[in-house]
Amino acid sequence: MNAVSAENLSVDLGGRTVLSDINMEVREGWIAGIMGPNGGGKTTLLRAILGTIKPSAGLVRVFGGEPRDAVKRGLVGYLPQRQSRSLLPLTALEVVMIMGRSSKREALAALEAVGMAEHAGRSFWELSGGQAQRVSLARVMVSKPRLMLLDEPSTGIDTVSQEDFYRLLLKLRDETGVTVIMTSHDVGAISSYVDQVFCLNTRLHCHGPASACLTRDRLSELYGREVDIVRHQGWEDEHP
Amino acid sequence: MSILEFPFARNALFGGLIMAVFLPLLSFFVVTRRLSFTGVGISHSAFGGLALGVLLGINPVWGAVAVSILVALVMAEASRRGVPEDTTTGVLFAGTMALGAVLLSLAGGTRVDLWTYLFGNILSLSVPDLVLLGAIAVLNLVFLLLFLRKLLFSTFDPELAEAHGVKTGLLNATLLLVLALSVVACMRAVGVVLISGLLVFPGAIGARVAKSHKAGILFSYLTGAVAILGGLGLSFWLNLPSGASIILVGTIIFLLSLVFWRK
Repeated sequence: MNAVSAENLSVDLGGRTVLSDINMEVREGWIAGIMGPNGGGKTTLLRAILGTIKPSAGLVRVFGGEPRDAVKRGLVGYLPQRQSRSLLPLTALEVVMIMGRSSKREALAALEAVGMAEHAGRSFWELSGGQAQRVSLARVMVSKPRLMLLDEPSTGIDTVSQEDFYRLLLKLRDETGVTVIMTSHDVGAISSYVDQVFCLNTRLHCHGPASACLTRDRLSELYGREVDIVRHQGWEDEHP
Repeated sequence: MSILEFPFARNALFGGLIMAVFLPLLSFFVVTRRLSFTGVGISHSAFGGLALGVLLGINPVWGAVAVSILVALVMAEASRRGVPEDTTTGVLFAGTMALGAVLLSLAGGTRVDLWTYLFGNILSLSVPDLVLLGAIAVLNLVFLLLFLRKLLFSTFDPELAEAHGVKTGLLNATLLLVLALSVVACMRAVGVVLISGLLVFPGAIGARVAKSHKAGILFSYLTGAVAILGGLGLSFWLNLPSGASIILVGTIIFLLSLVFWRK
């Protein structure tokens, strides 16, 4: 079954076409990566899947239904790109429970799953970038969604923490079967950890396995300049 | 003879207690949602409303109610349209004060004691003032407690809350309306100039010293109670203006927290 499908999806924002005639399918259990240049429509596509942006043409289906219904039913978890600028004092545990849908026990279990249980009582704002991102992932996971939408999840965290984060996603997918769709600028991460790549710059330039899409020629077409791929360490071991 | 045997002192104490019950929680959300300057703007806009009431020959409080609510609604709509709140506040703050100056000039000589509305006098609270204060306190607590979870969620991340079905625009507009009504209710006690302090320092200290939102709310209440009741006691004891005493105690607590509480 498809977790997400889009048919002839177009989105206009402020008189500008941000997405044009997108057709895509993401199967359940996939880790899919959306990549492309800034302003290419990656976040807009995630928001259309989330149902917070209405298509100007075409449609999006999430688990065969309307995106908003899937969100209301708790099937979708979302990690926004922008870090919160709030002054609200919150512990890591309170962040995981912020949506008010989970018990303390469930929140602690989610923190345990991302290796952050020992930091439950610490201020969220005092955590390092990598730790904060793990807590945010626990917040997404706690409602046990079948689809996680992650917008630039590796932004602002160091390379080692990025590696740990992506490995954690793989582990979660293998253990729970959750579908993950994430946007990224990180060609190396996308090529190393995802099952399917969608190269987006207003329209879909290419989609398929990383090995087929992330060639130098295709990336140069997508970004409009020469691009080199640096794969993450360990990729060869995991993708013989 | 105890000072509380005088009705004015009892009314002042009741008024102080009512404010200590609802203002710290409101202040916590004003500060954590970065609405401190908005609070200042709404409270000062009440001055334009007071002048409008004087010009129209009605109770100035009704003029303050009308203009504060109007300003709160304009701020909410401007925010929804993507105009930064501090920009709208900066314009409306000066605009409504200017409106007040023009309207008072048009009204000519007035016997209304505007000084009381600007800087307040908690010792002059009447029973109807206490009833208004009590009603607004109940409205505040019902709104803030009923929507506590959604307020916390949208304060943490409005985009995320919106994605999960929280009507953040409506919630923000309602909070600004409650804020406007609270300003008007406290106008007689501490004045439109000083109320902005009570809207900020309890929440500022709560947000600064606490690690969790529960502790933050608790610290806000402690600060609010110490400032309001301490300031009131100080004003009785030293025969000082009561509203100013309350604000000065709160300001001193805030400054002490800067010195002694380092994160």
